Amino acid sequence: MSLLEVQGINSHYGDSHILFDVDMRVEANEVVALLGRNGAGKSTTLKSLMGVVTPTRGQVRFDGQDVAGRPPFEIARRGMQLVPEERRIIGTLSVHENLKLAALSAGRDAWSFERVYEFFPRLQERRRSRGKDLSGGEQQMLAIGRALIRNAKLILLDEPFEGLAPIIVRDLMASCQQLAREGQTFLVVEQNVAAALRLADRCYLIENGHMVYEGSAEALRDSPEVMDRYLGV
Amino acid sequence: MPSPSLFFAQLFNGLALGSLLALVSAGLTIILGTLGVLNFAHGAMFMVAAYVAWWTMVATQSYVLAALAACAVLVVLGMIIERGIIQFYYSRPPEDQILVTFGIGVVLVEVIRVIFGGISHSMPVPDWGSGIVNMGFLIYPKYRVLALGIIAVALLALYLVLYRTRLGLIVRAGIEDQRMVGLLGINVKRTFLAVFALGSLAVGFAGAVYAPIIAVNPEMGEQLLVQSFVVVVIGGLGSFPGAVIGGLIAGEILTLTTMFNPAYSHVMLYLAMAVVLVLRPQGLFGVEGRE
Ligand SMILES: Nc1ncnc2c1ncn2[C@@H]1O[C@H](COP(=O)(O)OP(=O)(O)OP(=O)(O)O)[C@@H](O)[C@H]1O
Ligand SMILES: [Mg+2]
Repeated sequence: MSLLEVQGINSHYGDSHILFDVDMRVEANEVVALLGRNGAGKSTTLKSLMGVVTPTRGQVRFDGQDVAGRPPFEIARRGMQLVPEERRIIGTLSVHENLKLAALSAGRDAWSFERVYEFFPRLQERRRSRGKDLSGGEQQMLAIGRALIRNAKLILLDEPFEGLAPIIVRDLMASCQQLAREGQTFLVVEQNVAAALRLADRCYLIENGHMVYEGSAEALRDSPEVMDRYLGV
Repeated sequence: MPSPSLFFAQLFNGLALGSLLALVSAGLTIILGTLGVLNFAHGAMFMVAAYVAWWTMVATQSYVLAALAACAVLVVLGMIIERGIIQFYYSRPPEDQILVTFGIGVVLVEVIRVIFGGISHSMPVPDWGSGIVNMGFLIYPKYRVLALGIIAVALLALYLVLYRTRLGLIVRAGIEDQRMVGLLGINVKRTFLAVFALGSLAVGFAGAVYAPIIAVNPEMGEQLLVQSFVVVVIGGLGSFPGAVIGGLIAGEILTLTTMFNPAYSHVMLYLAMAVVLVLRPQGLFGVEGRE
């Protein structure tokens, strides 16, 4: 059984129908990329998995249980962790307090603070700084660090590299690749298709709220016409 | 021009009023920041606490019992109000929340009026607080000086709850971004009762400590409510440091203006609020919240 199995979810914002019968799955220890143009419904898909948006129809089976319709805090406790596009670091709390907050409801086998700081030494240096004083790259590290300290079974990354300098992107990419090698499961949404394909084992393409393609990262890399059709501008 | 001793006395009065405003506004601001509800019953709750303290003091002669009774009654009252009424208004529009909390305030005032009448009572000062202290530049009632210290300790205790406990961490984070706190596996709604009780405790303690200083009557909380709204705006919505600094600033503005012309004291307070709103719309210590 897959870690995440999504069957026919539909989501709305008010009257506007955004997702149409979306199916997808994520296996444990797999990195899956969800790609699509601006406004295709990528963030909405992640939000629907996490319960931020309640799907109007369909099933979200996570770790063997149907979580569709559950509130985000319950889904988070079951081990799914959204790292949102805006990162949403708590600006008035220090780096350490942000991690502490994330660790409050984490399971017993979660990462220790030391392990997170070892993994992101920059966070250790900044541990007393307030969230709002961090650079974009540091905020992203902290956002991922919050997921790690919760020992999330599945981390949903929404455009983790957006707005970051190339050198920072390279470092973060290396960190994510290392986590993936160690068995961390990711579902990643990224505008930077090259970066996403380097990280992912498997890809989905979404267009106007419909899933239009599924295949391995290599297969997609070798199909410029598919990329052109669904991702080209 | 006022004489130096009058000036110092007023400065000190400002500090006394300011510390009261700080504690009352701190309760108001954490409730507003966490629950998203502006509690118009806050002033009436202060009044109820003062009545409980006055009544207990008269009945038992014990100041400690009076303060404990006021705190206990207010915590229970706060929990009843939150569970019994306010929790049903979290997803309602702000007008409804204002109306219902305003209504709760009116009911509390009228219940007290029915039980104790409309006249003013004065709570006796405890023995250890009677007399005066001579501070050289200023002769001041002893209890008022001690009250300042007691309120400072209460503010420190509140600070420790907010900055050193698990609940405090969730409260501070939730004031800024409740959705993210939820995404981190925390059921924020479950803290609402505790936060309302904590805010009620703050205003209850303030009511007990100030009952011997001011006239205890059913309307005593009205002005305080308006003043603490201004403090919350000046200090920044949801900010504890903002409530403390804002409270002290408001206390000094009110008393120093009174020294020259009492008619202008509230005008000056609103002016200060307007200046802050123009220069820093989120208040002195406020954060730009989400959503
Ligand atoms: N809160 C909202 N209310 C109404 N419509 C929304 C809301 N959020 C997103 N939408 C609309 O839903 C559609 C999908 O948005 P979504 O954010 O999921 O796209 P996306 O694929 O993540 O795009 P981007 O690459 O720009 O992040 C868009 O048409 C968008 O305008
Ligand atoms: Mg998006």
